[in-house]
Amino acid sequence: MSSPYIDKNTLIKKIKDFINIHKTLFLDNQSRMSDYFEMSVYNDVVQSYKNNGYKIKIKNLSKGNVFRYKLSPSGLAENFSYFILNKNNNDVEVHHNISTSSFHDENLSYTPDISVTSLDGVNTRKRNNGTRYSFIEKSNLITFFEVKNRNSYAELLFSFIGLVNEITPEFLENHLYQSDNGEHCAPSLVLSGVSSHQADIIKESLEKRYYINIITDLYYGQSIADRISSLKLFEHRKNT
Amino acid sequence: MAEDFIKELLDTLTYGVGKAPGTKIRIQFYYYKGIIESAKSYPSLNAELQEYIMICLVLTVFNVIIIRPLSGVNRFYKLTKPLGVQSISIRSGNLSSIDIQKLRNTVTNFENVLRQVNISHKRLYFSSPEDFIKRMEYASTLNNDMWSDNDDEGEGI
Repeated sequence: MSSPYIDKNTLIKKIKDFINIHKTLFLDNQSRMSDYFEMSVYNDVVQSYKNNGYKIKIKNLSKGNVFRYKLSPSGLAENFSYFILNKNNNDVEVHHNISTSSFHDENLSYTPDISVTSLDGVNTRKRNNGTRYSFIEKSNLITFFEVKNRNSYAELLFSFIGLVNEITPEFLENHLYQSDNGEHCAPSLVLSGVSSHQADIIKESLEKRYYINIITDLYYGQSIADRISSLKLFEHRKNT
Repeated sequence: MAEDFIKELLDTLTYGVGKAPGTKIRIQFYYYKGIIESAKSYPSLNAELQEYIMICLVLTVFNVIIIRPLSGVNRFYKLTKPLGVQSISIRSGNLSSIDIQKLRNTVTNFENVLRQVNISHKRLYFSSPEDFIKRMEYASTLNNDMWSDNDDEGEGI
């Protein structure tokens, strides 16, 4: 087992020891890996604002200062924690898994994984049957991130354009948002895995035509906060 | 022989992490292995360097699938702790500061294992096959004395 480049005996021994020591932790956490990925991206989005000079506050910590993470569309926003970010008297909120309506038909809704809204951008409404639900008015939505813990492939990339068309169709007008001082990421599809060659070609074409980001290799490459300079940003969606 | 060692390493790393993550590691490894083997520069490398690149690939995939998600929780806690957060509630239960410390220790211990075989965790990411090969070729030339975080590329786990 000799190699001029690496001590293979040491590697195997150390890896065996490492796995034995942490086996219980790995088994306990195996079903949480997708949750952890969503947390990573949520963290990255908030971190990118922080790096850009925004001050961070957390709303709705529960008893014992527990951050209640909203990892599914069910549940009311007021029962979960979220971030309020402030810079120069400009407040935005970063939410997880809150519905918003279609731009074209208010009867249709969709739940982006991460939404950036204006202050107090989430309302809770009552349905006809008496149940309540939390909702982002389309006028309050600034941008959104769709997060997938997988590799990119053609269908996923094309379907993201459908989402942008339904929720924020103005971003399909690429020329509207060119800006050197943007602070918000354009609507973004975030993927943990890497692209195939064909998916890369599609990504390049879509990003050329539309004001969107397709962020691949998140686990294999840099975080969103670290690659922010290469992403499409914009100032204030409603004012541009 | 090289194939045997890669298989042993893969078996060792997937044993004890759970069926789903273990399967994912294997699928991803063989996917990227195929991509790297079909890269233009790969066939001209000597067999030992090819093996080194595959070792680094196994470790990269393990890093990506197992270690980086744990690291993501640590980063989130680091961001929110100064704001008073004591623990994090997710759908599968609560993560206390003790749980998060355990995740952090796991990440640190993995980095230490890599350090002992002269591999920086910061190199373990994948961009393109040619870039990966080039980066690992460079890494293979470093010895312990030359190894430092300062000469690393990319971001840490």
